[in-house]
Amino acid sequence: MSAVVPEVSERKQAFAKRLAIAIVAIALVGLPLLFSQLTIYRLGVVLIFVVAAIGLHILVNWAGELSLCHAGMVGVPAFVVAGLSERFDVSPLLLVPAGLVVGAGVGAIVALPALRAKGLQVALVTFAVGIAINSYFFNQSWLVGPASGRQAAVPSLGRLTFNTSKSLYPVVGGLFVLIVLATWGLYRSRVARAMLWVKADPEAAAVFGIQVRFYRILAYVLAGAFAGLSGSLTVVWTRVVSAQSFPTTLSFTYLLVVVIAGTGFVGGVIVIGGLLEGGALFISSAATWINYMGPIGLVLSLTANKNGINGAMRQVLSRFEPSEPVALDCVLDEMSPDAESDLDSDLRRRRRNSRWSTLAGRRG
Amino acid sequence: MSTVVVNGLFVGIVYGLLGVGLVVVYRGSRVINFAYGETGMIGAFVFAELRGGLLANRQLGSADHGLLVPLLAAVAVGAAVGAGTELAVVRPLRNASRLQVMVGTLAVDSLLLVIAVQRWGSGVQFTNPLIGGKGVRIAGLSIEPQQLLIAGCAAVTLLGLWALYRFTSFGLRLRASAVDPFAAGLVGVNINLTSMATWALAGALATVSAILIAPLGAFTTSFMISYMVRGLAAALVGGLTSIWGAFAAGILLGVGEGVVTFKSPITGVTDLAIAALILILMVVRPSGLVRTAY
Repeated sequence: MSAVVPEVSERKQAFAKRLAIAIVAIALVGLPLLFSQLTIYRLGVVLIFVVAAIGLHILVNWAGELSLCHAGMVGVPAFVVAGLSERFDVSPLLLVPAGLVVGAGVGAIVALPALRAKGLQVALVTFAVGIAINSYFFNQSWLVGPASGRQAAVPSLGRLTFNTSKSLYPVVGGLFVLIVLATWGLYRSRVARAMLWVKADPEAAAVFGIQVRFYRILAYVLAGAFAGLSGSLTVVWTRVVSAQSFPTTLSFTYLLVVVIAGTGFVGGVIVIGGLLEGGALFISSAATWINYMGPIGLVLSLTANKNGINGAMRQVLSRFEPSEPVALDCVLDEMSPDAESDLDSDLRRRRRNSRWSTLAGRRG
Repeated sequence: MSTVVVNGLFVGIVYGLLGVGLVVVYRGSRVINFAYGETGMIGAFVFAELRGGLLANRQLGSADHGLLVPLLAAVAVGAAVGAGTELAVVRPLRNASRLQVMVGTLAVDSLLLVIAVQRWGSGVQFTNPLIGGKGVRIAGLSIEPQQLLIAGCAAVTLLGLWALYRFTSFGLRLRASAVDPFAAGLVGVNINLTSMATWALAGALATVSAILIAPLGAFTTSFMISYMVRGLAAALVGGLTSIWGAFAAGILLGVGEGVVTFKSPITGVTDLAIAALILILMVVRPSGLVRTAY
């Protein structure tokens, strides 16, 4: 197909989009510095929670896989980073890449049995792994240290030492922005498209030459890598991690966030993760109600709003976009993963409707 | 060692009952109910509160208001939670993938946990032994009254379930709707009612299992999470369809766990072994070791 040359207005739109992203990124990193240490600390906790949730989002909403051991995937790299930092007195910031690699490794290990299993069995396998990590590995002193937890060294970069949340926030906030931008790049890449295709119809994807097994493993590895990043950043941010920091139920909370978020980019994950984790931290009086909101929201998301918060946000945004007639081949050429997922859900709805009408006919 | 095996046997009976409850739900709805453990936990706490009272600091009291009324009330609550799960999650998602329904049950699980922590806190609670008195000696081994109660409850439950599925018209309707809900609906079976009855039955079973196992360990609002994985392992050995297979696997699991814990003092080694069992089973024989027709 011929390449579409962007018009001046399109280029302006793209520039405006990039400018808006840059402003949001600078605001996210800079504005919180005006607040108190405690507020900044809580905001950091929320950002780190969202990073882990993004990993599970890729696994669940892009690749159609499932993990009930995500808390373990966050915890293991966190303990490795904290242990290395404690033992060799190294800044945990320098060990973030190591946490990423360990997380990716844990993801790969979880992927192997999950590859053999299908559907409900994957859930069982990952649930069993989660329980094993929590009950066995998080009780071993060689990994988690004493009961009070592992104490990492003070985060530093060269001569810069970050003793307070305020001094450390630009680093963690900046890393968060980089992670979101990297996820955006991934979302616009062939990898995300292939994963979405594998999720929608693995057999059709295989027919068109997509290595289904490879992308399934890759999804687990990516989820593990994000979990590893989150675990390492937890060590950087809190400096102390104990076995109680990563309970089994935390995996359910991550799943809850990503299911309510729905298929799409990470906007829904940031909104729901921020609401649930941030709400509980910032409004302590409303913490109980927020805890109720999560599961209820998940049930509503499954039964009433199947496209999740991302779908709802897409609907709202589409109202502001100009509707111009375009050639069909251009649409297919430029189709984003969002559009692909909408198309997929539309096709499924049509198929279901036709099945219902067939059944109704049979009954009639 | 023989005492370890006997103790493991009775703990295993409860694991077997947990597995049976999961099988009942799977046979009826093709869903693994992740809220099963917490449904039982809610029932067990209702039982403990009605029996011992609730003190001002959210601690359960040590009074004894009898067994029967609290037991019946707790079983009713467990059945209601099961029926509520069916109504709120399973029925609206009848045409969705089974994985989605399972995620829905995880939401119910989280909700029940939040409710329980709100009412009873997250600390360890006091529980009265279910029954007192002297035990009996069989072949030189001492059997505690609590263990006799477990065996009695398990026998009544299993025989009751077997009779329900085998001899009653309601059991026939349950089996028919499990095999093919559409065809069962065509011949007049009320699918909604049978589905709800299945989930209520499982809720009642979960409550009985949780009440029986609560005095054996630390009684907290999260006490059923690790038992749930044992019940799940037992149900998987039974291919998620065989009641007797799941029960037998539960007993073996309990005995095995007792022996492993006795031999190895490492914390969590049994959980690791059970996870390994599930992994091996899923990789080598995903359909379970024992399967049964409906």
